[in-house]
Amino acid sequence: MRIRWALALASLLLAGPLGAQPQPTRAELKAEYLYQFAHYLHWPHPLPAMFTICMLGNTPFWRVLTGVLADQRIDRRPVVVRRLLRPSQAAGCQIVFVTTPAPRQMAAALAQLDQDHVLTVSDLQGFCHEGGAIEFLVQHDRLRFIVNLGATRTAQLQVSSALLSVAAQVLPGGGP
Amino acid sequence: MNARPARPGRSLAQRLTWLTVLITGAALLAACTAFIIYDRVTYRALLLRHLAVQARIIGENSRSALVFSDPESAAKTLATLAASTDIRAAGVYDRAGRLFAFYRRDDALPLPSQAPATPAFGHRHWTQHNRLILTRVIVFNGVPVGSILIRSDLRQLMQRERHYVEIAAIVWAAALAAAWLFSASARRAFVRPIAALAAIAGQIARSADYTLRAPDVTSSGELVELVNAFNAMVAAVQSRDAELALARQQLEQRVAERTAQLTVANRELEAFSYSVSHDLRAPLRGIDGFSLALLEDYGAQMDATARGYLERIRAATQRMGILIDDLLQLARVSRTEMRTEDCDLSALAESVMEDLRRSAPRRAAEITIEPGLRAWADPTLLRVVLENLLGNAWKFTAKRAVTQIALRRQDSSGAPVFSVADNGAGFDPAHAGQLFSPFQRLHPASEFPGTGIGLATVQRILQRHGGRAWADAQPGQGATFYFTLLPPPAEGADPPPQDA
Repeated sequence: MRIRWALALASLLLAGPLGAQPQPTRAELKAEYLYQFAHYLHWPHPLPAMFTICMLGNTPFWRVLTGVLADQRIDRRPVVVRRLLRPSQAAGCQIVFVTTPAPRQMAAALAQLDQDHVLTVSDLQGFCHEGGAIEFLVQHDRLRFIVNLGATRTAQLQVSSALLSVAAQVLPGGGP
Repeated sequence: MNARPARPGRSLAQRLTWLTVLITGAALLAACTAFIIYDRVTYRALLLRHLAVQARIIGENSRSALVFSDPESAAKTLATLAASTDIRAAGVYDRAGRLFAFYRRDDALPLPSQAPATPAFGHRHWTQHNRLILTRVIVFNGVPVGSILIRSDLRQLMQRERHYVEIAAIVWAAALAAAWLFSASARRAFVRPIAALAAIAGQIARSADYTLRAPDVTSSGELVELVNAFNAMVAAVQSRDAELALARQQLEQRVAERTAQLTVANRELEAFSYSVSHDLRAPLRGIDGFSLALLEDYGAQMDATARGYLERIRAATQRMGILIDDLLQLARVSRTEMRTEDCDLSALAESVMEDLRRSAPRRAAEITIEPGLRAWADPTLLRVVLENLLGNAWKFTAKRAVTQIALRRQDSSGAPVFSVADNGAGFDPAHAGQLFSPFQRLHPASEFPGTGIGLATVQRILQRHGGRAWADAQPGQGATFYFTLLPPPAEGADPPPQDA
């Protein structure tokens, strides 16, 4: 652990003033945020042996997601990425990132995903209003997100206030 | 007064005041310095802990802002530092070291745009231009996500130190005032009596007036003892002085009385011996004259025995005449007035020796007289001295094959010492002291004729000149007589003593 810190610091200190690291793309940032959300939620204990992040839909983001999440761990558990073709396949997922279907089918999809201890995330506009938990949006050219406390409560997930403090908008419980 | 009086320095009161001020000042300075150092160390440690805690809290609270790139949230978190007045500025840096969000008081300097070097664990702090700076890495899930920098200035510390110095200055001023008051009361209580005592002592030392006394003091303790002891001492000196003066007066009076009695007795004695000697001559002349007449007129009618008796009478009469002459001379040298002058001792000695040689022209003699000897004396009396000493030498060398007599000046500093040495009969040095008393003779008259008055006369003359005579000899090996005279008086100096 400490060695990792030291290496991280070294990289931090060695990083040039203009940032030798290439700026992450928005898709990479989204994948990173998905991973980070896991740290701001209280998961029921015990978690399964693997922390599963699923993706519903067939878009190029899959490749970004698998790239960013490769070899990552959450709560000492290895992170696995699964692709769902249908919402009904969501059993065993801790986080489901929704890229399809089109907005009009969203409600039906969410109804099927409405299970205990599953965090739903999407970059589709109006996701939270349809009952999703976290919705990405771009504000002032920055990637931000909305948290729907009603949805998280329904899913029996407790969100850290630290996450809420950086959210662009927090929808109170009860939903629309 | 032999001992040089010590120079009076600063007064006692001034010294006391200075002592108080100095001690108070030194103590205050030491205490103040210790306080400031302690306070600086403590305050810095406290401030550092405060900064460390704040960095930790802000770091914890801005983790999510860093993770989700939300500078506004981080700035909001940083803004809570407004409550800590000693924190002037703080900034959060992202993983790449760029300034992510910051907080700054109105007059604070801007933060560096790039994060300074930060250790992986704990924090790092340093001081720069009186500012205490602390940085710390922000870690999320074991991964550094950025760093925080908090900057405080030591303005409050400076202010505290200024307060300390002000307080110390006020205390010092109070101590000065206290010292002044203390010295004033001290002056009243014991410095003034001591000063008065010192003044009286000085006056007594200058004027030797032992009737003076130190004034009594109202305070108690050692000062009263000191004043009483001083007064007692002065009183003792005064009474002793009076006793001494009285004793001296009595002594002088007694000496004067004795001297007068002695002088009278001496005069009477001298007059007596003079008149006796003088009056003895007339009957002696009768005895001698009639003995001669008897011998001339009736010598043919007498037998040889009667003539022998008459011859003996005449010889005894003549010896008595010489004795009377010598006695008269001794009396005269004691009585005549002295006129001292620079005499040519060598010439006088030559003249005396010539007379002596004429009395026995056939005697083989080696006479050595050091030329150029001079003496400050009465020439008539000096001639008597030389006649006696050279005459004795001539007399006691009569039985030697060659008579050797030498008059020299001995090497000596101060008064000159002259010696008359001969190769005559000499004498036992054990009896040298008796030589100069009248009628003391070391040789029988049949061997060497004499009256025993000559050396007494010599001694008397030399004593009148402020000098003396002594002798040194071995039996059969000759004798040396020494005598000293006062050196000639220096220009303007007192003349040598002239006794009556």
